[in-house]
Amino acid sequence: MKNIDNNIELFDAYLNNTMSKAERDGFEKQLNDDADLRKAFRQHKEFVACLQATCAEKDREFEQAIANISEEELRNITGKKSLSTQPQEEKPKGKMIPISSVYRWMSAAAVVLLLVGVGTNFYQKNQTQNLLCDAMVESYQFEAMHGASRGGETDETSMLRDEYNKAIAMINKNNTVEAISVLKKQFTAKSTPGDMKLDIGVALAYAYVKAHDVKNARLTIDELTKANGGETPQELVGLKKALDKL
Amino acid sequence: MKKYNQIVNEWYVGLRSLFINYIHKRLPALRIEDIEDVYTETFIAVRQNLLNNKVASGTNWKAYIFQIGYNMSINKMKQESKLVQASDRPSDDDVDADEKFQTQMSLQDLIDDSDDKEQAEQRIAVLRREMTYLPEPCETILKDFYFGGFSMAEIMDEIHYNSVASVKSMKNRCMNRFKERVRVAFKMLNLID
Repeated sequence: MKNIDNNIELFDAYLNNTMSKAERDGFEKQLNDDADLRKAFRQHKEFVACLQATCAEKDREFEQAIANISEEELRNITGKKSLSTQPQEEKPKGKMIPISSVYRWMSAAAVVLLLVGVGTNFYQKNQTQNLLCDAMVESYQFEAMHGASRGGETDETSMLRDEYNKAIAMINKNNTVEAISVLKKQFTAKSTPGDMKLDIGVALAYAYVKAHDVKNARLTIDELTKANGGETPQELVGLKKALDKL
Repeated sequence: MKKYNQIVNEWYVGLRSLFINYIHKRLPALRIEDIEDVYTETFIAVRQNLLNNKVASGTNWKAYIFQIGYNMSINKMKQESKLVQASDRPSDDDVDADEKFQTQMSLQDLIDDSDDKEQAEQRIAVLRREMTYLPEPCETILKDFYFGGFSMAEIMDEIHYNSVASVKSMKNRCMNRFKERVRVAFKMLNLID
């Protein structure tokens, strides 16, 4: 594994032109001599190019979308009552851009509104988030490992896992309402295989936490603990501890 | 087909907490409420810049939003007399610039360079399909690193990891697992691995 990791670092350094002349020559000689390394390098380049192309498509989609919505629609999305028309210059690294007095008043008003209306609630939520942060990291690693394994599964299970992976992506994009809806359906379905139920339940518990629904997060953990013979599943120990502190 | 406002809303909601963490980490003196306010202003400025043809074609929007937002945050601090020096900005020079991946790869060049162009096109089609299944945090790490031009330290903040080393390790694990999945897919389709 270490060797493969080293190769990835090596490939990135080569593609990124951060190697010295000697390192570069050495790597190119290795490529000439080693067919397996050549194949691995080709795969790596294809992966990076595909990833960049996929991301660029999403960026173009956003560019088209934001250029084609009205000020009113953008106002609805951002929840802002009036718009500043002070554009920022492109790539203004280190350059200070003056902000109009209108903007200052708007900012001050927004801060007051936020402090009075949302501030308290935000801090409570933020505190919850902080307490759960470590447990979240644990879950991310867990999800990455389990979400990817699809080899040798039936079509039905594979479809279920695809939906599950999409739900995980939704959680991480803060689309928790939709994620909870998908995961809850999977979690309660009788046709869901037992070994996947744990993955789904764990993801559901984390989705609830991210949606600040501590009550349902606890209920989900309790249900999984019960199904696990009264013992909290290892994947949820950290989260349970964090929830107990609340 | 998604509606335009739905797409913008997904970006707005999706980047919000990341943006707040990003700015808060770099400008801790700025209140969270102020950062939230800057975030909405950033989207408005981004739209204005685009409509005024001030943004280059092929812009990396996430990086652009964060850059504009950072500058607006600095301005906000100056406005509120929380003076900061321009040098406080974590420039590319002092934030592990060598760890940033800054090379743009071309799919077409790879296909053109291949001995068997048809096979290369098929392999790339499989890769792109499999890419839609990237689980988190792999998707964030890989896209931020290979496309977004973010450093490992910046990604560490975004996904709340404790060290750059653990992000690097996770990135390599993500790559290896993805490559394994692709290998299985290639095998099923009788494509050369």
